[in-house]
Amino acid sequence: MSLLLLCSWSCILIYIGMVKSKYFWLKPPAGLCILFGISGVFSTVPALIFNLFLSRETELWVYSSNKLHSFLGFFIGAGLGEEFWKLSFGIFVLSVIPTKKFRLFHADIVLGFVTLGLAFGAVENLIAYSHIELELLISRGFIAIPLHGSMGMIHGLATVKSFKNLSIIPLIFGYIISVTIHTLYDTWNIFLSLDFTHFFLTFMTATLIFWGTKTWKRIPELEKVLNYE
Amino acid sequence: MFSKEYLLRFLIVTASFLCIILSLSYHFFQRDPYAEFLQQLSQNQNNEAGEQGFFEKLFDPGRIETRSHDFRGIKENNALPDAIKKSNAARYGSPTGSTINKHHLRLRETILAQLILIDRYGLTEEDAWHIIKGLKIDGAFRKYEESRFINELLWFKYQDDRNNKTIVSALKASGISLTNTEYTFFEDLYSAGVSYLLNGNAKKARLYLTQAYNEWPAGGRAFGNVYLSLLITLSVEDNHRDFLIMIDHIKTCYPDWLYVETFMPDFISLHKIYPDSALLHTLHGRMVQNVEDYASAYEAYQRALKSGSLDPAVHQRVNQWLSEIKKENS
Repeated sequence: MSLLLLCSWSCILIYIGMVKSKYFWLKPPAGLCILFGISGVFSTVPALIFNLFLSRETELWVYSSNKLHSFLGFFIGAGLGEEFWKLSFGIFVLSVIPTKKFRLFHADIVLGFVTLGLAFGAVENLIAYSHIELELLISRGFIAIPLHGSMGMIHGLATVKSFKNLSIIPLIFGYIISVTIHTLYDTWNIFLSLDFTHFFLTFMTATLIFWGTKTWKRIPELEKVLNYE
Repeated sequence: MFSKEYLLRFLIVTASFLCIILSLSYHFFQRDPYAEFLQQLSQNQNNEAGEQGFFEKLFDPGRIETRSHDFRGIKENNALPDAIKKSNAARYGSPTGSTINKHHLRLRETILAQLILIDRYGLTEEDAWHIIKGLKIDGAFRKYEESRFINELLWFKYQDDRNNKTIVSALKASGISLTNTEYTFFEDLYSAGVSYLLNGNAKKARLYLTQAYNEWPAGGRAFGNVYLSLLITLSVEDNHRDFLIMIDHIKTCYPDWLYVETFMPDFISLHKIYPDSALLHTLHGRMVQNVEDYASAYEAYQRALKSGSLDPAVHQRVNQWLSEIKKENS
């Protein structure tokens, strides 16, 4: 239980913070968030298989001594792979829920994708990082979990924009942006020394949190998704 | 209207794109665990070499041997009794065993790397054999090293299936073939000794194990195995005099005494081969008593006493150990 809390404490805090800061008139979409959360947990399975395939069958291993191999490992495994599975599981939830039964507001979709990202981050912590030192595990709550949350926000915003503009282009852009940010986040240490890596990681996470907070504030609580069937 | 179909199309196209990327990665960057392992090994060796100065490296005649020595995990054991340490120092041979030149050493290390890959990283025996066969290292030693590889594979198989008599007989044949070459060294003698022990021939086993014990260059875990094997052989042969001397040094000479799970399967197999050996039961009892498993130790001593063939000196020691158990239990 304590391990579960150590891996997911920041997910819970971020979720509560988002809900408290937004929903004044309406109830938070608990059912939708649960669906997104569950899909976030399950999205780790294909992502894990994807990364396992890369690390076992190819030289594109994230811890490879060859810098190019390591970079490509992060780009394909963590960037392209993980972001795709998160996005696709979110889209899958949106595709299967009955739109008449569920309330589908812009803020709900963004919150759903963020919940999915947070759940993914928590399970990733549990599966891949639960054995690391306590300080590092706690620090992942400050850095890695917010990163997954912000990637979820990018996915959510891109989906909302796609609905608004009746175009798939924003979704493609959203995916490319999240892949780029995730790859950059993981690969600082390949090109920079440890001190610079820490500096850039902190700076990047702070920027993402700042941007996420501002964006979340700007999304109206009562704007309904139109033009979606 | 924005249809769900667009979303699904996007997912299918992106998934196909990812599949193509994965296929390309597999095609162009297929993993070669063997090359990776060797690279890692050479890096470690370079790091070790980097600790020495240039002239030290240049004029160090034993540099290749030293690395091989470390890699094989044979280290001097400071816990050895002085008498044994002294005698080992006097007998100190080449840590590389019988390798005659750097090509031979390279072949041996490569084969050893294959064995590690098989044991720990799931490399198949066939693949390892193809790699060894494909090595461009030729010499009279090649056949001998390939036989050693097969012998090691047989030991792996024996660990998986201890009751397979075919494997045990093959081990003996393989072990004997390795002792009759110009490259034979202490490891081969040990392997042959243990295979004789498993085949029920304790007399032959003692001859090889004693030779291995005398020629073994240093203490440590590997030497500990020789020590325990020799002690078991003496038990089976009912050599109570040497048994009583050696059992007093068991904790210092056999560093793995604490890890019951490593030697207990061997004891179980040996009890099947030598069911009437009272000294073997005594040794079993002492080994489990060392780790404070008093119930098992008590049972083993009782089995030894029931056989009625214990030498009075051993009988007295067993009674002494039994009283220690009683004291602990009270």
